[in-house]
Amino acid sequence: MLTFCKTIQKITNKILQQNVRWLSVTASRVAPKSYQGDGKTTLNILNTEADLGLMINGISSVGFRLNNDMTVLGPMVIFPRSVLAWNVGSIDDITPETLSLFTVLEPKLDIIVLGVGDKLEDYSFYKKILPFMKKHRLNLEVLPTEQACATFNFLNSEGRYVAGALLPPQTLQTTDDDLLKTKLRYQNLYELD
Amino acid sequence: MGKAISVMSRPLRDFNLESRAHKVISKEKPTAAPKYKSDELTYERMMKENPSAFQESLAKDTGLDKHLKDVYVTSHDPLPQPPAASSSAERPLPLDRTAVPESEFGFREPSKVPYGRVTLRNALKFIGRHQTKPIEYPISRIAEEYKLSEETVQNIVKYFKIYEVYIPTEHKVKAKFAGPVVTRKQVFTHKKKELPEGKD
Repeated sequence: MLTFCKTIQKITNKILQQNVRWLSVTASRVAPKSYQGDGKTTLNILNTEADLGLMINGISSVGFRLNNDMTVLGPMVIFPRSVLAWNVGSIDDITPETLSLFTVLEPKLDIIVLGVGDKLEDYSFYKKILPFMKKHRLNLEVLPTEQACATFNFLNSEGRYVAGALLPPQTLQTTDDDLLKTKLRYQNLYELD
Repeated sequence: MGKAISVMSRPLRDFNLESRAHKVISKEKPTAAPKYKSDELTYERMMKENPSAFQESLAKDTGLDKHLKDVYVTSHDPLPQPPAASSSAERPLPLDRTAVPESEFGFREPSKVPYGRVTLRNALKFIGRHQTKPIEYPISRIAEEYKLSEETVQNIVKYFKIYEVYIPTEHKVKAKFAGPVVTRKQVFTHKKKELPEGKD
Protein backbone atom coordinates (compact mmCIF):
# COMPACT_ATOMS: atom_id res chain seq x y z
CA MET A 1 0.00 0.00 0.00
CA LEU A 2 2.83 2.36 0.92
CA THR A 3 4.67 1.72 -2.34
CA PHE A 4 1.44 2.30 -4.24
CA CYS A 5 0.99 5.65 -2.51
CA LYS A 6 4.58 6.59 -3.34
CA THR A 7 4.14 5.78 -7.01
CA ILE A 8 0.94 7.83 -7.11
CA GLN A 9 2.82 10.76 -5.56
CA LYS A 10 5.64 10.39 -8.07
CA ILE A 11 3.24 10.42 -10.97
CA THR A 12 1.36 13.47 -9.68
CA ASN A 13 4.64 15.32 -9.11
CA LYS A 14 5.70 14.55 -12.66
CA ILE A 15 2.40 15.78 -14.06
CA LEU A 16 2.67 18.94 -12.00
CA GLN A 17 6.22 19.60 -13.18
CA GLN A 18 5.28 19.14 -16.79
CA ASN A 19 1.95 20.90 -16.96
CA VAL A 20 1.75 23.51 -14.24
CA ARG A 21 3.50 26.79 -14.67
CA TRP A 22 4.33 28.00 -11.21
CA LEU A 23 3.64 31.65 -10.84
CA SER A 24 6.69 33.48 -9.67
CA VAL A 25 6.42 35.55 -6.54
CA THR A 26 9.44 37.72 -7.33
CA ALA A 27 7.41 40.33 -9.19
CA SER A 28 5.41 41.28 -6.15
CA ARG A 29 8.54 41.42 -4.05
CA VAL A 30 10.46 43.57 -6.50
CA ALA A 31 7.62 45.95 -7.33
CA PRO A 32 7.44 48.92 -4.99
CA LYS A 33 4.49 48.87 -2.69
CA SER A 34 1.85 51.46 -3.38
CA TYR A 35 1.70 52.53 0.25
CA GLN A 36 5.13 53.69 1.39
CA GLY A 37 4.29 55.04 4.80
CA ASP A 38 2.73 58.13 6.26
CA GLY A 39 3.04 61.10 3.92
CA LYS A 40 5.41 59.25 1.59
CA THR A 41 3.05 57.88 -1.02
CA THR A 42 3.85 59.31 -4.45
CA LEU A 43 1.72 59.47 -7.55
CA ASN A 44 3.01 59.50 -11.13
CA ILE A 45 0.73 60.51 -13.96
CA LEU A 46 1.72 58.52 -17.05
CA ASN A 47 0.71 61.13 -19.61
CA THR A 48 2.85 63.88 -18.08
CA GLU A 49 6.09 61.94 -18.21
CA ALA A 50 7.83 63.03 -21.39
CA ASP A 51 10.25 60.13 -21.76
CA LEU A 52 7.50 57.52 -21.90
CA GLY A 53 6.50 58.48 -25.43
CA LEU A 54 3.34 59.60 -27.15
CA MET A 55 0.08 59.14 -25.30
CA ILE A 56 -3.53 60.11 -25.73
CA ASN A 57 -4.81 62.75 -23.35
CA GLY A 58 -8.33 63.12 -24.63
CA ILE A 59 -10.80 61.91 -27.22
CA SER A 60 -13.75 63.44 -28.96
CA SER A 61 -15.98 62.44 -31.84
CA VAL A 62 -13.69 64.26 -34.28
CA GLY A 63 -10.27 63.22 -33.08
CA PHE A 64 -7.72 62.85 -30.31
CA ARG A 65 -5.59 65.08 -28.14
CA LEU A 66 -2.06 63.81 -27.56
CA ASN A 67 0.23 64.52 -24.64
CA ASN A 68 2.50 66.72 -26.82
CA ASP A 69 -0.28 69.36 -27.02
CA MET A 70 -1.23 68.32 -30.54
CA THR A 71 -4.77 67.63 -31.63
CA VAL A 72 -5.16 64.93 -34.23
CA LEU A 73 -8.22 64.94 -36.46
CA GLY A 74 -9.83 61.76 -37.69
CA PRO A 75 -8.80 58.14 -37.29
CA MET A 76 -5.14 57.67 -36.47
CA VAL A 77 -2.48 55.03 -36.11
CA ILE A 78 -0.24 55.75 -33.15
CA PHE A 79 3.15 54.16 -32.48
CA PRO A 80 5.32 54.63 -29.37
CA ARG A 81 6.80 57.88 -30.72
CA SER A 82 5.13 58.55 -34.05
CA VAL A 83 1.64 59.03 -35.39
CA LEU A 84 0.06 58.47 -38.80
CA ALA A 85 -3.32 59.33 -40.27
CA TRP A 86 -5.47 56.30 -40.97
CA ASN A 87 -7.58 56.65 -44.08
CA VAL A 88 -10.68 54.73 -42.99
CA GLY A 89 -14.18 56.04 -42.48
CA SER A 90 -15.82 53.67 -40.04
CA ILE A 91 -15.57 50.19 -38.58
CA ASP A 92 -17.00 48.71 -41.81
CA ASP A 93 -13.96 50.03 -43.71
CA ILE A 94 -11.49 48.11 -41.53
CA THR A 95 -10.29 45.38 -43.86
CA PRO A 96 -7.02 43.41 -44.08
CA GLU A 97 -5.83 46.00 -46.64
CA THR A 98 -6.26 48.87 -44.20
CA LEU A 99 -4.09 47.01 -41.69
CA SER A 100 -1.43 46.20 -44.31
CA LEU A 101 1.31 48.28 -42.64
CA PHE A 102 1.24 46.16 -39.49
CA THR A 103 1.91 42.97 -41.44
CA VAL A 104 5.20 44.19 -42.94
CA LEU A 105 6.76 45.98 -39.96
CA GLU A 106 10.07 44.65 -38.70
CA PRO A 107 10.43 43.93 -35.78
CA LYS A 108 6.93 42.51 -35.41
CA LEU A 109 4.62 44.58 -33.25
CA ASP A 110 4.07 43.22 -29.75
CA ILE A 111 0.41 44.14 -29.85
CA ILE A 112 -1.97 46.23 -31.91
CA VAL A 113 -4.73 47.98 -29.99
CA LEU A 114 -7.69 48.43 -32.32
CA GLY A 115 -10.12 51.08 -31.10
CA VAL A 116 -13.36 50.47 -32.99
CA GLY A 117 -15.22 53.56 -31.83
CA ASP A 118 -18.37 52.62 -29.99
CA LYS A 119 -18.93 49.32 -28.23
CA LEU A 120 -19.49 46.45 -30.65
CA GLU A 121 -22.97 45.02 -30.81
CA ASP A 122 -22.20 41.59 -32.26
CA TYR A 123 -19.28 39.36 -33.27
CA SER A 124 -19.43 39.98 -37.04
CA PHE A 125 -16.31 42.18 -36.91
CA TYR A 126 -14.33 39.50 -35.10
CA LYS A 127 -15.40 36.93 -37.69
CA LYS A 128 -14.12 39.20 -40.42
CA ILE A 129 -10.78 40.04 -38.79
CA LEU A 130 -9.87 36.73 -37.11
CA PRO A 131 -8.58 34.86 -40.22
CA PHE A 132 -6.36 37.85 -41.05
CA MET A 133 -4.94 37.90 -37.53
CA LYS A 134 -4.16 34.19 -37.66
CA LYS A 135 -2.62 34.41 -41.12
CA HIS A 136 -0.13 37.12 -40.13
CA ARG A 137 0.19 36.07 -36.48
CA LEU A 138 -0.75 39.52 -35.26
CA ASN A 139 -1.80 40.16 -31.70
CA LEU A 140 -4.86 42.32 -32.08
CA GLU A 141 -6.77 43.75 -29.13
CA VAL A 142 -10.20 44.94 -30.25
CA LEU A 143 -11.70 47.45 -27.82
CA PRO A 144 -14.05 50.43 -27.78
CA THR A 145 -11.90 53.51 -28.46
CA GLU A 146 -12.22 54.90 -24.95
CA GLN A 147 -10.74 51.76 -23.43
CA ALA A 148 -8.31 51.33 -26.33
CA CYS A 149 -6.74 54.74 -25.62
CA ALA A 150 -6.14 53.84 -21.98
CA THR A 151 -4.75 50.45 -22.96
CA PHE A 152 -2.42 52.00 -25.50
CA ASN A 153 -1.16 54.56 -22.97
CA PHE A 154 -0.45 51.90 -20.41
CA LEU A 155 1.25 49.50 -22.82
CA ASN A 156 3.36 52.32 -24.20
CA SER A 157 4.41 53.40 -20.73
CA GLU A 158 5.63 49.85 -20.14
CA GLY A 159 7.97 50.29 -23.13
CA ARG A 160 6.28 47.77 -25.38
CA TYR A 161 6.39 48.02 -29.16
CA VAL A 162 2.69 48.76 -29.46
CA ALA A 163 0.57 50.32 -32.16
CA GLY A 164 -2.87 51.81 -31.69
CA ALA A 165 -5.27 51.99 -34.62
CA LEU A 166 -8.04 54.20 -33.34
CA LEU A 167 -11.34 55.41 -34.75
CA PRO A 168 -12.98 58.34 -32.96
CA PRO A 169 -16.15 57.22 -31.18
CA GLN A 170 -19.53 58.56 -32.31
CA THR A 171 -21.07 58.74 -28.87
CA LEU A 172 -19.27 60.00 -25.81
CA GLN A 173 -20.48 60.33 -22.27
CA THR A 174 -19.14 63.62 -20.93
CA THR A 175 -19.07 64.25 -17.23
CA ASP A 176 -19.01 67.47 -15.23
CA ASP A 177 -15.30 66.86 -14.70
CA ASP A 178 -14.66 66.72 -18.46
CA LEU A 179 -16.52 69.96 -18.95
CA LEU A 180 -14.58 71.67 -16.16
CA LYS A 181 -11.24 70.47 -17.51
CA THR A 182 -12.09 71.71 -21.00
CA LYS A 183 -13.14 75.09 -19.66
CA LEU A 184 -9.92 75.30 -17.67
CA ARG A 185 -7.92 74.47 -20.77
CA TYR A 186 -9.61 77.16 -22.81
CA GLN A 187 -9.40 79.52 -19.82
CA ASN A 188 -13.03 80.58 -20.04
CA LEU A 189 -14.18 79.10 -16.78
CA TYR A 190 -15.92 82.29 -15.63
CA GLU A 191 -17.54 83.19 -18.92
CA LEU A 192 -21.21 82.69 -19.52
CA ASP A 193 -22.32 80.99 -22.71
CA MET B 1 7.87 42.24 45.11
CA GLY B 2 11.12 43.29 43.39
CA LYS B 3 9.33 46.14 41.69
CA ALA B 4 7.94 47.38 44.99
CA ILE B 5 11.40 47.46 46.50
CA SER B 6 12.91 49.24 43.51
CA VAL B 7 10.11 51.83 43.57
CA MET B 8 10.97 52.56 47.18
CA SER B 9 14.75 52.49 46.82
CA ARG B 10 15.01 54.50 43.57
CA PRO B 11 14.64 57.98 45.20
CA LEU B 12 17.42 57.10 47.62
CA ARG B 13 19.64 55.73 44.87
CA ASP B 14 19.08 58.73 42.60
CA PHE B 15 19.54 61.33 45.35
CA ASN B 16 21.83 64.14 44.17
CA LEU B 17 22.70 61.99 41.15
CA GLU B 18 23.58 64.77 38.76
CA SER B 19 26.04 66.61 40.98
CA ARG B 20 27.74 63.33 41.83
CA ALA B 21 28.05 62.47 38.16
CA HIS B 22 29.48 65.94 37.37
CA LYS B 23 32.03 65.54 40.12
CA VAL B 24 33.25 62.28 38.59
CA ILE B 25 33.47 63.46 34.99
CA SER B 26 35.07 66.82 35.85
CA LYS B 27 38.14 65.12 37.31
CA GLU B 28 41.46 65.98 35.62
CA LYS B 29 42.48 62.35 35.34
CA PRO B 30 40.01 59.54 35.72
CA THR B 31 40.61 57.08 38.48
CA ALA B 32 41.78 53.79 37.03
CA ALA B 33 39.68 50.75 37.63
CA PRO B 34 41.05 48.46 40.34
CA LYS B 35 43.22 45.60 39.15
CA TYR B 36 42.73 41.94 39.80
CA LYS B 37 44.57 40.60 42.83
CA SER B 38 46.65 38.24 40.68
CA ASP B 39 47.67 41.06 38.29
CA GLU B 40 48.59 43.31 41.17
CA LEU B 41 50.91 40.63 42.56
CA THR B 42 52.54 40.15 39.15
CA TYR B 43 53.24 43.88 38.78
CA GLU B 44 54.78 44.03 42.23
CA ARG B 45 57.00 41.02 41.45
CA MET B 46 58.17 42.58 38.18
CA MET B 47 59.00 45.90 39.88
CA LYS B 48 61.09 44.07 42.46
CA GLU B 49 62.94 41.81 39.97
CA ASN B 50 64.02 44.41 37.36
CA PRO B 51 62.96 47.90 38.41
CA SER B 52 65.02 49.66 35.69
CA ALA B 53 63.27 47.90 32.82
CA PHE B 54 59.90 48.58 34.39
CA GLN B 55 60.62 52.28 34.74
CA GLU B 56 61.84 52.37 31.15
CA SER B 57 58.58 50.87 29.93
CA LEU B 58 56.64 53.64 31.63
CA ALA B 59 58.71 56.42 29.99
CA LYS B 60 57.97 57.70 26.46
CA ASP B 61 60.27 56.24 23.75
CA THR B 62 60.97 59.02 21.25
CA GLY B 63 62.48 56.58 18.73
CA LEU B 64 59.39 54.42 18.53
CA ASP B 65 57.22 57.53 18.52
CA LYS B 66 59.08 58.85 15.48
CA HIS B 67 58.72 55.54 13.64
CA LEU B 68 55.01 55.70 14.19
CA LYS B 69 54.86 59.24 12.87
CA ASP B 70 56.89 58.32 9.77
CA VAL B 71 54.48 55.59 8.74
CA TYR B 72 52.19 56.80 6.00
CA VAL B 73 49.77 54.39 4.38
CA THR B 74 48.53 54.98 0.87
CA SER B 75 46.22 52.79 -1.15
CA HIS B 76 44.84 52.80 -4.66
CA ASP B 77 42.19 50.84 -6.47
CA PRO B 78 43.41 48.55 -9.24
CA LEU B 79 42.71 49.89 -12.72
CA PRO B 80 39.59 48.28 -14.21
CA GLN B 81 40.68 45.75 -16.78
CA PRO B 82 38.40 44.79 -19.65
CA PRO B 83 37.23 41.19 -19.39
CA ALA B 84 39.23 38.60 -21.25
CA ALA B 85 38.42 38.31 -24.94
CA SER B 86 35.44 36.13 -25.69
CA SER B 87 36.01 32.78 -27.31
CA SER B 88 33.92 33.89 -30.25
CA ALA B 89 34.97 37.06 -32.06
CA GLU B 90 31.51 37.43 -33.52
CA ARG B 91 29.89 37.67 -30.13
CA PRO B 92 32.24 39.73 -27.95
CA LEU B 93 31.36 40.28 -24.34
CA PRO B 94 29.82 43.65 -23.53
CA LEU B 95 32.37 46.24 -22.40
CA ASP B 96 30.12 49.28 -22.18
CA ARG B 97 28.24 49.58 -18.93
CA THR B 98 26.54 52.89 -19.64
CA ALA B 99 22.79 53.11 -20.07
CA VAL B 100 21.33 52.20 -23.43
CA PRO B 101 20.57 55.43 -25.32
CA GLU B 102 16.95 56.32 -25.91
CA SER B 103 15.90 55.22 -29.38
CA GLU B 104 14.15 57.66 -31.71
CA PHE B 105 11.12 55.47 -32.30
CA GLY B 106 10.86 53.90 -28.85
CA PHE B 107 12.18 50.45 -29.75
CA ARG B 108 15.44 48.87 -30.88
CA GLU B 109 15.75 48.92 -34.63
CA PRO B 110 17.18 45.82 -36.30
CA SER B 111 20.33 46.07 -38.43
CA LYS B 112 19.10 43.46 -40.90
CA VAL B 113 15.62 43.52 -42.36
CA PRO B 114 14.35 40.47 -44.27
CA TYR B 115 12.81 40.80 -47.72
CA GLY B 116 9.16 41.73 -47.68
CA ARG B 117 9.42 43.63 -44.43
CA VAL B 118 10.28 47.20 -43.51
CA THR B 119 11.22 49.14 -40.37
CA LEU B 120 8.91 51.85 -39.09
CA ARG B 121 11.55 54.47 -39.90
CA ASN B 122 11.64 53.48 -43.57
CA ALA B 123 7.87 53.09 -43.73
CA LEU B 124 7.38 56.64 -42.46
CA LYS B 125 10.00 57.83 -44.91
CA PHE B 126 8.39 56.31 -47.98
CA ILE B 127 4.84 57.24 -46.96
CA GLY B 128 5.95 60.86 -46.59
CA ARG B 129 7.90 60.86 -49.83
CA HIS B 130 5.05 59.38 -51.82
CA GLN B 131 2.59 61.79 -50.30
CA THR B 132 4.65 64.89 -51.09
CA LYS B 133 6.13 63.80 -54.45
CA PRO B 134 3.98 61.01 -55.89
CA ILE B 135 5.47 61.32 -59.38
CA GLU B 136 9.06 61.24 -58.19
CA TYR B 137 8.44 58.34 -55.80
CA PRO B 138 5.93 56.05 -57.51
CA ILE B 139 4.78 52.81 -55.91
CA SER B 140 6.97 50.69 -58.18
CA ARG B 141 10.10 52.57 -57.09
CA ILE B 142 9.25 52.23 -53.38
CA ALA B 143 8.52 48.52 -53.82
CA GLU B 144 11.86 48.00 -55.50
CA GLU B 145 13.82 50.07 -53.02
CA TYR B 146 12.41 48.45 -49.87
CA LYS B 147 11.90 44.93 -51.32
CA LEU B 148 8.15 44.98 -50.77
CA SER B 149 5.34 43.76 -52.99
CA GLU B 150 3.68 46.50 -55.02
CA GLU B 151 0.28 45.50 -53.70
CA THR B 152 1.36 46.05 -50.10
CA VAL B 153 2.93 49.42 -50.89
CA GLN B 154 -0.24 50.40 -52.76
CA ASN B 155 -2.32 49.58 -49.70
CA ILE B 156 0.05 51.27 -47.28
CA VAL B 157 0.22 54.58 -49.16
CA LYS B 158 -3.53 54.47 -49.70
CA TYR B 159 -4.55 53.93 -46.09
CA PHE B 160 -1.72 55.56 -44.12
CA LYS B 161 -0.89 59.24 -44.44
CA ILE B 162 1.51 61.71 -42.87
CA TYR B 163 -0.18 64.51 -40.96
CA GLU B 164 -0.06 68.10 -42.03
CA VAL B 165 0.60 70.37 -39.08
CA TYR B 166 -1.72 73.34 -38.85
CA ILE B 167 -0.88 76.08 -36.38
CA PRO B 168 -3.59 78.72 -35.96
CA THR B 169 -2.34 82.18 -36.94
CA GLU B 170 -4.65 83.97 -34.56
CA HIS B 171 -3.98 82.95 -31.00
CA LYS B 172 -6.27 85.51 -29.44
CA VAL B 173 -9.45 83.83 -30.59
CA LYS B 174 -10.73 81.72 -27.76
CA ALA B 175 -11.69 78.21 -28.65
CA LYS B 176 -14.97 76.84 -27.42
CA PHE B 177 -15.91 73.46 -26.13
CA ALA B 178 -17.48 71.55 -28.98
CA GLY B 179 -19.36 69.09 -26.80
CA PRO B 180 -22.76 69.46 -25.18
CA VAL B 181 -23.00 72.63 -23.11
CA VAL B 182 -25.57 71.26 -20.69
CA THR B 183 -24.29 68.28 -18.74
CA ARG B 184 -26.27 65.13 -18.85
CA LYS B 185 -27.90 64.99 -15.49
CA GLN B 186 -30.74 62.72 -14.72
CA VAL B 187 -33.32 64.02 -12.30
CA PHE B 188 -35.43 61.39 -10.66
CA THR B 189 -38.77 62.10 -9.07
CA HIS B 190 -39.79 59.76 -6.31
CA LYS B 191 -43.48 59.00 -5.98
CA LYS B 192 -44.61 59.34 -2.43
CA LYS B 193 -47.54 57.49 -1.05
CA GLU B 194 -50.20 59.88 0.17
CA LEU B 195 -53.14 59.36 2.39
CA PRO B 196 -56.44 59.25 0.52
CA GLU B 197 -58.50 62.32 1.24
CA GLY B 198 -61.91 62.28 2.87
CA LYS B 199 -61.28 59.27 5.03
CA ASP B 200 -60.60 59.07 8.75
